[in-house]
Amino acid sequence: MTLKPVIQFIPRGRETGGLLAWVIAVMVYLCGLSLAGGFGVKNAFSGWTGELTQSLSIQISHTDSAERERQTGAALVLLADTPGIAEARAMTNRELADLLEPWLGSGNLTDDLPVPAMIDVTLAPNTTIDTGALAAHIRTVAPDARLDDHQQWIGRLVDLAGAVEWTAAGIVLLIVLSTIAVVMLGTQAGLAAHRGSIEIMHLIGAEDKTIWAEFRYRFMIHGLKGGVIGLALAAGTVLLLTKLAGKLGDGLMPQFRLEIWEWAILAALPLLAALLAIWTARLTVMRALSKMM
Amino acid sequence: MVRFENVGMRYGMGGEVLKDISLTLEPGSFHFLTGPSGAGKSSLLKLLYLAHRPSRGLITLFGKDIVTARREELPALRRRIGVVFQDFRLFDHMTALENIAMPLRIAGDKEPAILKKSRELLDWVGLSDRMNARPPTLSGGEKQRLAIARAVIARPDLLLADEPTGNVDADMARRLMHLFVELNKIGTTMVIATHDRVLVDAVRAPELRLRRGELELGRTPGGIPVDPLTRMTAP
Ligand SMILES: Nc1ncnc2c1ncn2[C@@H]1O[C@H](COP(=O)(O)OP(=O)(O)OP(=O)(O)O)[C@@H](O)[C@H]1O
Ligand SMILES: [Mg+2]
Repeated sequence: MTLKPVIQFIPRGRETGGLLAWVIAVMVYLCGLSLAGGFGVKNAFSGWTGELTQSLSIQISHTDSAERERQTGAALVLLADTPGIAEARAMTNRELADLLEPWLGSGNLTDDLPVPAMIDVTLAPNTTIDTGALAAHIRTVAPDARLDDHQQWIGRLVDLAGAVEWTAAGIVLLIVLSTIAVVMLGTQAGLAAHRGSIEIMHLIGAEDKTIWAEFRYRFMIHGLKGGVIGLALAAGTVLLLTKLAGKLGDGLMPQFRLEIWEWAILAALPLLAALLAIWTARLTVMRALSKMM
Repeated sequence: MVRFENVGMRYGMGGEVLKDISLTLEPGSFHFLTGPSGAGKSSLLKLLYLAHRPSRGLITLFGKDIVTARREELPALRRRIGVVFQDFRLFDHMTALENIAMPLRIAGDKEPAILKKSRELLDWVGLSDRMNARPPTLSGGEKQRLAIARAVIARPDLLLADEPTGNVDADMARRLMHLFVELNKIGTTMVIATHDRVLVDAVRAPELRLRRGELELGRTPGGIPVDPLTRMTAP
């Protein structure tokens, strides 16, 4: 496939092609943001849920602090002997106070306020544990223990992540469809504007592929130009947003991070846009030409 | 070279503008296509240069059945045909030189040869000083000469000209007609649609006369002696 048309029969740079490049730039910009957002959310969420599925917490509530400590100790002993558990650790009063501070305010946690004891359990990597059996087992030594494996929370996270990903995918699909429509309209306008020249070329024996080559070159240029501009703008926006998010401090916002292949897809957007434009234009031109004798 | 059998043609849903045309054009022949305005001359030429399909009948061109030919086979046939369109159909944004170079470009000739041939032919039709002018700035006669130059530059086997001398003075008309006669001598089959009786009588080639879409019997030269200069033969 030679990129430059062998025979040039349409005047250069006097059509609406420049406009098309800008429309494609906007499309690639929006597409880049949606993809980066979708990928970023997916990665952040899988990081979170990964951490959460590796941990459990056990709550022991009893108004009598001595009994509470006895049950906590017994549970810790039992957990130490349970396979698949990397670490089990009772939270200190200080940590509990920190945890409750948003609800109770600082300094309001008095010793006589019955605060449940918490045990933080970290699972060994790549293990799954029958949490129901574990909970029953713990209750034999600590009847007031309640086990929380964050399933409800994880379930909601997964739902939310799924919704965000599907929305991003939907946006990308809509962008692709609009791009196709815009390129079709642009191609039809181009065909109409140069109809006379195309007919003459046709009548003096030019092949369809010679005529198509003129359009292919244009759409490739417009697609690439628009794609590069759109990608540059999208990259700038993503950098700016991650920088602003970084200023909020650690912990609050998850780290924005993409896999290599996700970066590759983003980097390939201009090329994909050019290919989409060329493919659409080709269909449109060839269909129009096939209506000529 | 060309064979029509009971060919009919209509535009869209309209009535037939050509009816029951049967004719044969031998290779190397020279024919005038005459008839009053609206008789169907341009329409008949459109069938010949493959811009329109017949609504019935059979057309054979260069031994190829046009009605059943695949679309992809047509460009190669068109490249063997030179056409002078009644409305010229020049590329308005190209220079005169680029305009007449196009058939050679489509044929895939080498660039230096293309330029050389194009310049020579422009010179021949008297347009060498208008080489870089664009058609909208040319006079009617200049456009006509340019259109003729583009039609003949690739040495077509069949030349179709629709009123090729309508916009030039008698002198230039004779000159152009001489070009057609010369091309015919080296083997190009000619069909020239014209109203110009003087021209028809001067060349004394056989005439295909159309009347309301029907072919009146061609004026076979019969007793008329064949012009010794042009060595025209009967169809
Ligand atoms: N594109 C078209 N659509 C519909 N009808 C057409 C079209 N072109 C020509 N006609 C009709 O077909 C008939 C023949 O037209 P054509 O142009 O072949 O005549 P002609 O012999 O070339 O006339 P002239 O000497 O004026 O050029 C006319 O009645 C004309 O109105
Ligand atoms: Mg006509």
